[in-house]
Amino acid sequence: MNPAETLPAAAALAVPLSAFQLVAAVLFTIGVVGVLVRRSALIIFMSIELMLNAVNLSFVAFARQHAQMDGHVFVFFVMAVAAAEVAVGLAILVAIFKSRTTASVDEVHLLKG
Amino acid sequence: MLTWLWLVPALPLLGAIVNGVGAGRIPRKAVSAIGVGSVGLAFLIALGCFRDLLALDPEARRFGQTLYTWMQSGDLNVPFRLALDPLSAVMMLVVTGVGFLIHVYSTGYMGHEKAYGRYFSYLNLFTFSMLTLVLGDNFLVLFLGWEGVGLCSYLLIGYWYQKPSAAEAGKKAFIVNRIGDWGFLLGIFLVFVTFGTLDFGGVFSQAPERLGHGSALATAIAVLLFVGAVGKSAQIPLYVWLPDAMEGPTPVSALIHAATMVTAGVYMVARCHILYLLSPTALLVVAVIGAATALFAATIGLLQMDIKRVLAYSTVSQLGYMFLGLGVGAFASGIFHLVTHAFFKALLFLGAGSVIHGLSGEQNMQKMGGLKAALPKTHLTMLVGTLTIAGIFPFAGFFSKDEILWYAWRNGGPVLWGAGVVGAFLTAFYMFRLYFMTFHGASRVSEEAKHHLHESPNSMVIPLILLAILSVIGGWIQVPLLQGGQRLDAFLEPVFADGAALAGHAAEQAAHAPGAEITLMVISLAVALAGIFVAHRFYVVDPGIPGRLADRARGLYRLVFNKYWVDELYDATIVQPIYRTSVRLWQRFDDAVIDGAVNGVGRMMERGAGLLRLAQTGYVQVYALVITLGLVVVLGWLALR
Amino acid sequence: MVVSILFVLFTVMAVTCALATVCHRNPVHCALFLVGVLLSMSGMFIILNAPFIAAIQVLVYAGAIMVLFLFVLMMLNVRGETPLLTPGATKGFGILFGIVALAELIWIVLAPGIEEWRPGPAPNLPADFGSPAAIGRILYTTWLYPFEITSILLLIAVIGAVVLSRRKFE
Repeated sequence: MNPAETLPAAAALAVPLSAFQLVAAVLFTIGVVGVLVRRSALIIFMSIELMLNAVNLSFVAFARQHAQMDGHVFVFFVMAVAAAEVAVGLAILVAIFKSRTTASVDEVHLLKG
Repeated sequence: MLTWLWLVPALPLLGAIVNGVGAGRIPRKAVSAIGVGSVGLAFLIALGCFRDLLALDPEARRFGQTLYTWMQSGDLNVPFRLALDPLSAVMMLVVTGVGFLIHVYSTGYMGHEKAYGRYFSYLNLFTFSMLTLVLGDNFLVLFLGWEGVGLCSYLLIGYWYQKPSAAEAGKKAFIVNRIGDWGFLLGIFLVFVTFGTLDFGGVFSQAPERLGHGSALATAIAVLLFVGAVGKSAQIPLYVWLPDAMEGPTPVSALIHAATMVTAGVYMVARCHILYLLSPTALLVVAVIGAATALFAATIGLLQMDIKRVLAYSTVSQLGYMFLGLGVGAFASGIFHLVTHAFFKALLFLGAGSVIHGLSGEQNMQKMGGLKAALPKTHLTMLVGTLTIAGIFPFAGFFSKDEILWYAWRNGGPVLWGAGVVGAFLTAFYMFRLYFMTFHGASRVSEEAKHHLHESPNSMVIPLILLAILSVIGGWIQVPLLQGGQRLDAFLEPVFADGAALAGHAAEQAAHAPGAEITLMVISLAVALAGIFVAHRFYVVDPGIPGRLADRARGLYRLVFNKYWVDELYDATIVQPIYRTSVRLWQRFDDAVIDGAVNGVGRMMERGAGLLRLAQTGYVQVYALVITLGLVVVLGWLALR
Repeated sequence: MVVSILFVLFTVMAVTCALATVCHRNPVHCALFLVGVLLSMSGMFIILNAPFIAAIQVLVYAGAIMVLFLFVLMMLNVRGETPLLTPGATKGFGILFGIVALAELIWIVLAPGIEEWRPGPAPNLPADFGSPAAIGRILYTTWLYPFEITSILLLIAVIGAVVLSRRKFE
């Protein structure tokens, strides 16, 4: 089924664009606070994923508003990069925290100057 | 041959470089050959140039040779230019000729020295500098040579630098010279500012209009230049370095501190005679200082015990005579005395060197005596030298000193003439005192020295003989009252002619009043003979007289024996305060302030870095926090737009 | 109408799950709540005429990335640690900055003068907006270079992950 048929053709979105932006903003902020406040490295990582998703939402909303697919392409790339980042990041985490009991970032501060 | 003029200074320079670089690596014979040969060759070329100069018309005897443009900056254009005219030709021949003889003598005297190559390198370098000085055609080339001879003087006085007194003497010579050079440089600056050029030709031709007779500017320039001469030629008050300079090897004393370097001041004043004639005040200053120095130094020479010191004070005194001659407008006479003095003073020094060499290093005359038999050739030549410095007819010294005394009487008045005559008496006295104490009387030589007592080798004796011959006949180029006898005067006339009009004595100079002149000649001869007679009484007939006189006038004796405490005075009033100020500056300022500032900067950097370091906490979340802070700021800026 | 209700539904779900992700102690719970966020995002995408993106969101993000997260969680056997939050002033400043950033973002979004954000007539949507064909068309023409480079990036990530998790030989 073509999704376009379910919506009135060329109709304005019932929900204004600013609403989507606000949602994205809220999600992004929650992610930022999560990064800054949590101690566990894995939770921090998940917060970063949250931020990326907020950004994705923003992009797609803009694409819908301007009727251009470039926004979708951006989201596509963001997802690919996020996947790569998660793979490598988790590998690093595993390497660091394998021999410890906790995954707290407070433990790793050898670069203290 | 005139185009080869540049070779005359260049050959000794080449010798200096070769011997300097190869010192220690070249065999001794080669060093001698290069050192002596370069000067010898320069002398031959100088003779050739002299002959060519004579071939020219008397009015046109001036040959210039520009080697390259030395400085070209704005208004200042200074070519490295040599010029040969009668005056510089005379100087050139003296420097290369007497210099050559002294170089030969040095091969014998310094034969046992370890640093043989260094010695000849310095000596050649000196010869180069002196030739540059006399051949230069502008003030800056002259100054280059001026400084060069000062440097070589320092190097050669301090030749035995391991000896502290020698090193001190070298420093003293250089520093006192520097004081003179300061005045000299100011004079050169003033010349440039006034004339816009430093060429002798340019300056002297413009001088009469630009400076005006008796103007303050002319006096300033002349006096400032003379300050340099006072330093270089050891006049009052900057003569103190010359006696100490006797720390250097005797041939050095002969060449530098008798025949050539110290005469640089005399040459300079003669060269700039126009400037001095334009300022009668400056001329008077020159004459007075010259006469005063001649008398003063002679008194000190009366009581010195070191044979070389007597000769040193004698040099200071004779230089005073030269300046006296210049100061009364008799420029040619001053140069004449310069030439004869070069002959007999070099002879005297080299003879003294021969005595010292024969006595294995003894310089104190109280330990000499009766050497007539043991050193026959030295004795004979020294006798000739002593006779001529005392001014006995017909030796060279008689004619030159007499000329100066005649003009002193004629142009300077009885006071100046009187000072000169008293000086002549003292000169004859102390020189014969030296002669009698060394060669006559009972022998006071130590047993040790008696063993090795020997006449010097030929390399030392032959120059002595040659110089003795010159001391006899050298005066005959300028015989007064003889028709055509004044050959030096005539030769130098084109150089000094332009001053004649200014001097206003032109007519009078030409006419020697025979009667007065002969009277004065007889007086000076009588005075000299009296001096010899008294010396003979004091040191041969009754050697106890000096001791008894000294006892009777204790105070006066001590004053003169200690050279009037001049050195001590300078030390207390000038040297010590400067030294103490330097130390204070070093401690309070250099150490505390400057070092403190530099170290302080280092410490501040350390502390600053320490503070900045605290931002690197090592905690990832702190870094993220900072990033977020940045985000907030950017968003804020965007929001507020 | 339907759209508005769906929008509100998905919004509430997303925000609740997000807060839960950040606040729970047990990391496995957090991971599962994050999956919830991802699914609600997917719903949002469908409202916004982006079916393809919605699909790959579920497949890649929720299906692959979160699974990887859970694998690592299990492997490291991480317990929730006490205390929950970072010590020191960081957490205070963190929350402060978060609130300030949110305020600024709201201000930017709602500031008067940005007309196109208000509901109004939208331009005509092409019939296949958001379909795979449309994405493919634009991906392989305009965005070809980034596409190729991204593939190299993924290769690098694979190699990196392998290298980093090599067992050091004892």
